[in-house]
Amino acid sequence: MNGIKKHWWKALAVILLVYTIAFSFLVPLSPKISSASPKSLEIGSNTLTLTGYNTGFLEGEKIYACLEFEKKPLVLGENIEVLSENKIRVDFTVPEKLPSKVLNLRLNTTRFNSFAPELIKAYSVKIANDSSQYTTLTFSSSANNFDIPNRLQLNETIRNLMFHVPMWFAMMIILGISVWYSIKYLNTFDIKYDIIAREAVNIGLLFAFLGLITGSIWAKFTWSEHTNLFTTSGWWVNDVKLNGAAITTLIYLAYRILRSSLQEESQKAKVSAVYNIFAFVLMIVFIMILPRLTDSLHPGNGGNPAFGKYDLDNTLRMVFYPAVLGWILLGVWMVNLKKRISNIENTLDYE
Amino acid sequence: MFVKNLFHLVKHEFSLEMKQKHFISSIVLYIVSTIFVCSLSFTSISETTIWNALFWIIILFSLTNAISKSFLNENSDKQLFLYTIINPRVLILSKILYNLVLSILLVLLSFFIFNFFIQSDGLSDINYNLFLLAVLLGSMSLSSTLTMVSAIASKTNNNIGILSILAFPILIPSLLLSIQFSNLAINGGTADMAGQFIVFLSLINLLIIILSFLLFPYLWRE
Repeated sequence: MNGIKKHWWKALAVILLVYTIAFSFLVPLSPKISSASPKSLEIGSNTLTLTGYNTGFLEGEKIYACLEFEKKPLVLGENIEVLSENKIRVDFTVPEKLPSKVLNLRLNTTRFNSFAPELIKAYSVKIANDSSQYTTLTFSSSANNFDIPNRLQLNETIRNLMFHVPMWFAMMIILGISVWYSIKYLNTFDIKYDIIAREAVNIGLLFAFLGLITGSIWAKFTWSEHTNLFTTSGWWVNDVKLNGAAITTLIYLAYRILRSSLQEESQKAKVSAVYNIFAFVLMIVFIMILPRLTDSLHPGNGGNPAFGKYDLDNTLRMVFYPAVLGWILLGVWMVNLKKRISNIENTLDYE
Repeated sequence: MFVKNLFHLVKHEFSLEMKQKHFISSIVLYIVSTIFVCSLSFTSISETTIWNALFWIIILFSLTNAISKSFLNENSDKQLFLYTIINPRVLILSKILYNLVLSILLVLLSFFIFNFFIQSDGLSDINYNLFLLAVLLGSMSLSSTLTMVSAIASKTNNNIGILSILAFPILIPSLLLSIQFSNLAINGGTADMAGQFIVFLSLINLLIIILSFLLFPYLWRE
C-alpha cells in the first residue's frame, strides 16, 4: 500500500503516455475535401469532381454541398453523385453576381461536416457590393465528429503535436529541476544534489535531441518543398525557435564538456553548478526576448513565445495536456532512476 | 570601502597591463591582421548586413581572445593573497569594469580599422551616434559575459577552447540583439525606433553583472 502511495505518479505517467500514444495513432483524421477539378467556375452550370481525404462516401448517402463566403451560403450543389470512397461529382449553378471571386466549400453528410477554405474560384463573376444583389441561402450542419483536425498543409503530421511539443515542455522542466539542485548544491555543498543536477542535464539533453529529431521531421514535411527523405535540404530552417533549441543543446553539451575537463570531484560540482545557473538564466532571457523581436514559422508568433490561443481545438486539447504531463513525469522518473544508479555506483566505488 | 577597493583593483589591473605591453599589443595586432585578411578576401561589400555581421564576428573573436587572459595572470600565490584580503565580489566587479574599458577601446579601434579597410556602398545613410551606441552596449554585454565565463574556464586546463564553447552559446542573445540594433543604425534608424534594443541590451547587461556578482564567490572559494 505504501508503495502505491509513494509511486502513484509513475503509474500516472504510464497511463497518460499509453493514452496519448493510443489516441494519436488510432483516432482518424477528420474527413476533408482536399481538391476540386476544375478549380475555377464559369457563370451558369458547372460540373465539378471533388476529391477528399478520409471521407468514405457511401453509395446512396445523403450529401449536401454549398459554396459560401464569410459564412453566407451562396450556391447549393445539385445532382450529387458518389464516384468512389473519396470522390464525388457535384453540379453548381453560379449566378452573375457574388460577393467574392474566391469561395469556400462546405460539405455535410450525416457523418461529418467538412470545410475547405478558398478552394473554389469564380473569376468571371461580378463582385456584388451590397447584400441585395445576391441571395443568401440556409445551410445547416449537424454532425458532431470526434477526430483529429485535418489542417491545411499539416494533414496527418498533426499527430506529431503530441510528441514534438511536449519534448520541449519536459526539457524545460527537467533543466529547471537541474538548476534548482545546482542552487541547492551551492548552498550546502552536498554532493547528492550535484548528482541530481548532472543527471537532470543528461535527461534534458535526451529530450532536447528527441525534440530536435521530431521537429526536424515535421519541418521537412510541412515547411519544406523537398519532401523526399533522401535529400539533405528541408530538415532545418532558420527560425528563432530552432535557434533557441540549438543554443540550449549547445549550452548543455558545453556543460558536459566542462564537467569532464575538471578532475577533482568537488571542484567539478562547484564550477559546473555555477555555469549551469549562469547559462540557464541567459537561456531563459533568450527564449523570452528574441521571439518578441522576430517573426517565426511556429504557431503563435508576432510577440508571443508560446502558443496562439486558437491553435488547438477541444479534441486536441484532450490529448495535448495529458501528453505534456505524461512526458514530464516520465522525464522526472528517468532522472530519479539515473540518480539512484549513480548513488549505487558511488557506494560501490568506496568499498 | 567597497568602492575604494574596487577602484584600487581596477587601477592595479591597468598598471599590470602597462607592465606587460606585449599582451595588449598582441591583441591590437590580432585585430589589424584579422581585418586585413578580411579586406583581402572581400575588398568591398555591397550588402550592409554582411558588412555588419562580419564586423561583429571580428569583434566577438578579438574580445574572446582579449578577455580569455583575464584570469590567467593570477598565479596561485597571488590568488591566495587576494583571497585573504578582499571580498571576491569586488574582484569580479573590478575585472568586469576593467574588461569593459578594454573592450570598448578595442571595439572602437576595430571599428576605425574596419571602416578604413573594408568599404561598403550602403553605408551612406548610417546613423553614427546610434551605431556607436549599439557597439558600446553590445561590447559591454559581450565583455561582461566573457569575463564571468573566463573565470569558470580558468578552473580547467584548456582555457581558450573551453572559453569559446562555454561562452558562444550564451553570447548569442546579446550578439543577435547587437547585430539587429546596428543594422537598424546602418539603415538610418533613429533613437526612438531602437528603444526596445536599448532596453533589452541594458537589461541583459544588468542581469549578467548581477549574476556574476552573486555566483563568483562560489567559484572563488577553494
